[in-house]
Amino acid sequence: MIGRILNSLAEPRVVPKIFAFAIAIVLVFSLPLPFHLNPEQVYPKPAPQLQMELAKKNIDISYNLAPYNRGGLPVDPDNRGIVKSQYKSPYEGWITAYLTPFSQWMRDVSYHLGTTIVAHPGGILDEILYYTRGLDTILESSILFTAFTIASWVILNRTRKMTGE
Amino acid sequence: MNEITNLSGPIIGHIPFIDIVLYISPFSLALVAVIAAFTAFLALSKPELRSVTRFGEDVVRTTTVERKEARFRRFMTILCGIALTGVVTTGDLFNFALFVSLTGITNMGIFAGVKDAHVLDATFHYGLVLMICSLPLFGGVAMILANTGTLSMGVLANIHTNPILNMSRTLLLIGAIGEGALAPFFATKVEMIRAKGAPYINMMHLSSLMVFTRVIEVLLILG
Repeated sequence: MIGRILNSLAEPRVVPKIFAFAIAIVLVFSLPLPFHLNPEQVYPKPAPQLQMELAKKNIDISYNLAPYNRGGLPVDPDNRGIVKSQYKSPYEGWITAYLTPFSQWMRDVSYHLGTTIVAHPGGILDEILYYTRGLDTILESSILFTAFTIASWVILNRTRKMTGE
Repeated sequence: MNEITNLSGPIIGHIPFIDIVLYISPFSLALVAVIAAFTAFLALSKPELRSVTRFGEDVVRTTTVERKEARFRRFMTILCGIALTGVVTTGDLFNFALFVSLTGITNMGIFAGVKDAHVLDATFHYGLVLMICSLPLFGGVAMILANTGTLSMGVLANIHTNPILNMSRTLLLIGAIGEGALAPFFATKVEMIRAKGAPYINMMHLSSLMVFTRVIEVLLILG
């Protein structure tokens, strides 16, 4: 009996299923824990609702970027964007507000293009991600490219075997 | 900082980039030396020539590893060594998780170069485990960030533990166990190690050892 169970466990096919099941059990135990968000987060932004209210009240065009606005002026040490990062740098908050002319035009047109502006090249720079946490960006893409390398190797050899080269 | 110096000795130096908070202590220096020596040894050695004896016949065959395959696997081995160096020296929790998952995927790459059906099959299932355990790994890190508001190990060492932090540590441990191919995955691991080309597959054992050592240190720092 025990031998049969152990033999079935030795199959590579069942290992991911057992592992996923074990993780599910552990995660169920995490549900009743008293979870609270620490208010002193390192990478803050004003709440989106607040950004929109300010935009309507002041007719301040820069708040058309909500919910991605961090304020500030580009390359101006006196008017920096709101950047509170873990690893300090003397130049943080300088380039958060930079927009290309096309993005500036989109910002002037409507209240509702914030997501579009942040999602296209030349829009809002996520300064925290690209400047104060630069290694993350490199590492994430290197994981992706390693996966691409492995997949292309496997597929290349498969097709070579199929065509008989 | 107190917990870190208790565990791994005085911090000799930081490598000054902005978020790349690599720190060097006697402990991590020893681990880096082992990794560098082992990776250089594997990268310089030639793949084995394995003899296969068949039962019932009086035949002994020598199997060879193709040059291209060996080159691909050597590349993955070196990449795994670099990822392991990052795992043992980083001082940022999110970067730690990223380095561990890079180690896992390069481990998989070492075996994906092999052209045996059963080895590729076991590698596929190991890849499923890697994908599954990226959830607890990054979930644990995200819970720690939400609960304490920081990712730096130097700051986290001074924060007292609570139930949520313990839960995050459990998740982190599960994730690292999966990515580092530790104990419960002997079934897949044994099938994978049947691959020919001996020196490269030893990298998997080294990465298991290093990921395990480092994740224990990280859990003690957090606690």
